[in-house]
Amino acid sequence: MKRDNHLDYHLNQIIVTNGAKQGVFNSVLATVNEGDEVIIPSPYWVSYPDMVSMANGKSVFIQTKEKDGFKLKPQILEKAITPKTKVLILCNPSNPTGSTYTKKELESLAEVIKNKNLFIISDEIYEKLVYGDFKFTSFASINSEMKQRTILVNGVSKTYAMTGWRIGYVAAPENIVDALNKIQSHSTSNASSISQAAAIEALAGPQYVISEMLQEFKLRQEFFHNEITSIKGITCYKPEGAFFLFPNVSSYFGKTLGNHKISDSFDFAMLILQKAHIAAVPGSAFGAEGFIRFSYATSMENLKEAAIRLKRILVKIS
Amino acid sequence: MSLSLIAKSIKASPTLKLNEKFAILKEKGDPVIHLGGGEPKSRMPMDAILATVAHVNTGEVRYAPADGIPALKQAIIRYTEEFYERKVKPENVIASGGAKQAIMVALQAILNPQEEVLFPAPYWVSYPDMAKLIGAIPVAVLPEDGTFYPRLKDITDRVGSYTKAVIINSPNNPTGAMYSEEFIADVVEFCEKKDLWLIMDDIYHRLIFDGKKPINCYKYAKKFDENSKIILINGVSKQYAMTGFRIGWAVGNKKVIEAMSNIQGHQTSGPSVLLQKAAVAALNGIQSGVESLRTTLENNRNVMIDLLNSFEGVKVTKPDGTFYCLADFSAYEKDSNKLSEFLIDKVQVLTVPGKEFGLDGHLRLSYCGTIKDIQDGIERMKWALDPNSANELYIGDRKLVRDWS
Ligand SMILES: Cc1ncc(COP(=O)(O)O)c(C=O)c1O
Ligand SMILES: Cc1ncc(COP(=O)(O)O)c(C=O)c1O
Repeated sequence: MKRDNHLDYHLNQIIVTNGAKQGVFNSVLATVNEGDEVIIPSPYWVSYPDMVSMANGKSVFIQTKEKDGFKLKPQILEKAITPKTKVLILCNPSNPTGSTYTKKELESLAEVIKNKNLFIISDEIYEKLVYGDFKFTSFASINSEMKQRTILVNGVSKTYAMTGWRIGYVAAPENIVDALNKIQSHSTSNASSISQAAAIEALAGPQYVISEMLQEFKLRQEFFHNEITSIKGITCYKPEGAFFLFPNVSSYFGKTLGNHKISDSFDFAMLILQKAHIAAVPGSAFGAEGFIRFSYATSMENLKEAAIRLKRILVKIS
Repeated sequence: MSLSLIAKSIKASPTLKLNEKFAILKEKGDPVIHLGGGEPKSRMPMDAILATVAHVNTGEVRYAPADGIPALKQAIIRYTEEFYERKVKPENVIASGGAKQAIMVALQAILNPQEEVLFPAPYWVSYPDMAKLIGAIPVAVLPEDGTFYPRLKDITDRVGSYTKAVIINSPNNPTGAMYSEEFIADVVEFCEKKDLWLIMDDIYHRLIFDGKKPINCYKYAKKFDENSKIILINGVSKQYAMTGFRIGWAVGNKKVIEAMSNIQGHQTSGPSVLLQKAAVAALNGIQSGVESLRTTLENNRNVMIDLLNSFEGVKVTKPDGTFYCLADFSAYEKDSNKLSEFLIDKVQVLTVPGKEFGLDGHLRLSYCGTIKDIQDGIERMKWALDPNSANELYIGDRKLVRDWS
C-alpha cells in the first residue's frame, strides 16, 4: 500500500482475511446494524447485497448510467444519503463494468461524503488491472479524513492470479480492524499460514508479471471491444480497468431466433450459451437489466472464436 | 460513526490474544513456557505434505466450489462411514475453513436473532461469541453436581421455548472430559423428541485415552437422512496436527448443508483448494500418526496429572481425552484472570483462565507440548504459588526472586 498508493498503515490497522470476500463481509458485519442503509452503486458485484442482508441491513441501489461510464455522480450520491445511511460500498475498478474512478472523480465524491456520517468500504481488488496511462487512485489516499472513514479491501486473487489461495486484506482505522479481528477470530480464525506465506512473496517479490499480464489483457480488451461494437445493435463502454466488458444488448430484446424469444438479459445469455456455447453473465445478476458481462480473462484464441460465433448467431436474430 | 452492535458485543478470542502476548515475550528472548496451547506439536502426515506440494507445483491454485471439492467430500463420506457407520451423500457434506467456520455457518443457518443455543459448561470459548455474532443467545449450563460430566437433567432444566439448538463437545475443550455413552444417547433422544438441532463438535473424538472408543452419536438416532437434525462437526486441525491448514467440515441434512454452503459462499467462498487437497491426503493416507499422537498425549496427560495431584491445594479431574485439563486453583486465587496474568508476569508460564470457559477459579493447562515444558511449567507455577517454596528459582542462568507472598 505504501509502495503503490503512498498509504501508511500500522500493523494494527491491517488484517489478513480469507479472501477479499471475507474482508468485505466482515466489514459489513462490523458496521451495519439492523435497518441501516448501505448504498451500492449498480451494476454491483453480486455478493454485496447478500452480505448486507445477512447483516440485516438494507441495500440502497443507485443506478449508474452507461453514458457516465457507469460511475457514481456526486449529486446523485448526495441525494441517496439519508440519516440511516451507514456505508457506501465502492467497487473500484468495478466488477462487472470495469469502470475506474479518476482521482478527481473520487475527490468530488469525498466532497459529498465529508459532511455525512458514513463509512466507505472501498473494494479495490482490481486495483492493478488498469490500462494505458490511467492512474489508479485508492479512495483512502484522497485525504486524511477519508482515510479515517475508509475500509480498504484488497487481495491477491486478481492481481497475482491466486484466486485459490484465499488471501485478502483490509486496511482501516484501528478500532475497525480490531472489530474485524474479533469477528474473524470467532468465525474462521486466521487465514491459512501457508497461503499467507505465498501471498507475502507475491506482494513483496518482483512485480513485472503484472505489467506482462496487463499488456496481454489490454490486447484482449481492444480486440474484443472492437469485435462486439462492430455488431449492429451493441454498444459498449470501454472501461479503464478489470477484465470485463459490459455491453448493452437491449436492442435485441423483443426479438427472436427460431423459437427462442429474447425478452431480457437472462434470455440473451441463455441464447448465446445454447446456440454459440459462450458463457456470459446476464446484467440482471448485477442489478443492470439490458446488459451482459463478458470476461476477457481467457485466451486470445477463445476470444477470437467467441467473436466469430457471436457474430454468426446475432445476425440471424430478427 | 460507530461500529455495529454485533461488533461491540463480542470479545476477542482470549486464547488468540494470549498467544499474541506469548509471541511478544518470546521474541524478546524471555524463557516462556506455553501451557495454553491449542494444537498438537507433532508433524503433519507426510501424505498431506506431498499432496500440498504436488498441487502447488501445478501452478494452478484457483477458485473451487464454496462447499468443498468433490475429492474432499468423498474422503469425508468415507471417514463418516468408518467412524459413524453412516453412508452420507455429497449433498450432506460441507468442507469449511476450519471446524470453527463449520460451526459458525451451522449456527447462522439454524438460528434467528433472540433464539437460544444451549451447551454444557465449561465450554469452548468461541461458542458464546459465535451465538452473539448472529444476535442469538448463548445459554451455558454448568452440571449441577459440580463435575465436568453433565447429565440430561442439566440440559432439560434449561430448555425453553426459545431453545433452538444444543452443542455437545465431547471430548471437551477445556476439561478433557469425554461424556458417557448414556449421556450422548440421552441427548440425541431428547433433541429428537423436542425437535432441536444437535451440533456434535467431535473435533477431538480420536484423541482419547485409557482404551476408550470414540462414541457414535448416530447409533442412538432414530431420525435419518433429511429428517436428521444432527450436525456433526469434525476437522483435520487436531488429529492430524494441521491447524494452519484451516480445514474442517460438517455433515447434516441436505437442506441445512445447502443453507450453510450459501452462507459460506458469501462469507469466504470456501477454503483454499490447496488446503483441501492436503486434507484429502491426510484423511485417506496412512493413519499411524494419529495413534502415535494419541499415545504421546496420553503419556503427557499422565505426567501432568501426577504433577498436579502432588500440587497441594490444586484439584484436578483426570481428562479422558484431548490435550487439556481444567484444574481448580481457587485455593490460591479465585479470580482466574488475575491468576493467569500473575503466572505469565512472574514466572512466564502461559495458562488460560477458566473464566473464559465459563468456570472461574480454574486454569486450563495444555499438555500438547513437551514433557519438559509440562514439568518445568508446573514447577514454576508451584514455586510461584506455594508460600513454603524457596525464595529463589533458577531458569537457566536467570534468577527469579520471590517478592510476593
Ligand atoms: C469486486 C470483487 N470483490 C471481491 C472479490 C473477492 O475476491 P477474493 O477471491 O479475494 O475473495 C471479487 C471476486 O470475484 C470481486 O469481483
Ligand atoms: C472444541 C473445539 N471445536 C472446534 C475447534 C476449531 O478447530 P479448527 O481449527 O478446525 O477451526 C477447536 C479448536 O480449538 C475446539 O477446541
